[in-house]
Amino acid sequence: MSETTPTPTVKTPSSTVSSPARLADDTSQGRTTIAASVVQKIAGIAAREISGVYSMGGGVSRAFGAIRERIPGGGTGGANIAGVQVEVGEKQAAVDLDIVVEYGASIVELARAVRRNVITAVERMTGLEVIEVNIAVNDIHLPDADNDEEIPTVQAARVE
Amino acid sequence: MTVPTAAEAPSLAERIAAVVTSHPSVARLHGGIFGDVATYLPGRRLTGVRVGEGDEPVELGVVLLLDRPIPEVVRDLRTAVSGMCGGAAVDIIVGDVALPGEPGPTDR
Repeated sequence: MSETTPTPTVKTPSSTVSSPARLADDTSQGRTTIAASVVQKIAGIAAREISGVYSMGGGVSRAFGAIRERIPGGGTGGANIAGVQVEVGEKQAAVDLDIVVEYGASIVELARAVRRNVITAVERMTGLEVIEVNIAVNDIHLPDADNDEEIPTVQAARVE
Repeated sequence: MTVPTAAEAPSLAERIAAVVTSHPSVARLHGGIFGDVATYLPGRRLTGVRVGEGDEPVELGVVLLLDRPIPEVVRDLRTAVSGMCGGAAVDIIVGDVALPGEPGPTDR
């Protein structure tokens, strides 16, 4: 044999956005599966808790969210998860956030606070380890621009 | 212990559902990711509990309230349900979460 190929370490395919997470600590007792929407909601709520976060989502999802909230039965459940994408694996989760900040907040400090709060909330509530929280600041909200319909200056940053 | 026979399984599923929904941190039962966790009873469908045959695990789909960490609640549920089923494995799917303020799906 002239060449030795290193044995490829077969990684289990990392689960996509919609696939569930399994907590690895259960064995013969049974499995625990946490749906991605659970992580999404917890991360969205934790990010909104930080004052200085005006709203969440890219321009498109904010526009749809505004329409959906006016439809009876459209539900407010989507309001918590706008602007939150998650990837969940066996033991870990990664979170991507799109946020709109209030004018006057230090974006660096705000992002740090959001990241800390999201990591704490998700790790405590789900038991998953959060490996990264990517924050995209999409827009800045000026105090006097409340009632006008906001023109989304930035389109959705990513297409998945 | 004994594996529940087909005749007693439906009532067992109902008893499990009653125990699970009486936990303070459980908002309601949930049909799982694909809505397939259910027991077919005469005249109705009990969503959220499936008792397997033989050594198949018991499956449980729940929506939890976000007032306690999920692993803690799941451990409680697994202990309670496993005890009712003679120590069978219990697969728990946390399909969604609800805020403590809005326990029902019809908020607003």
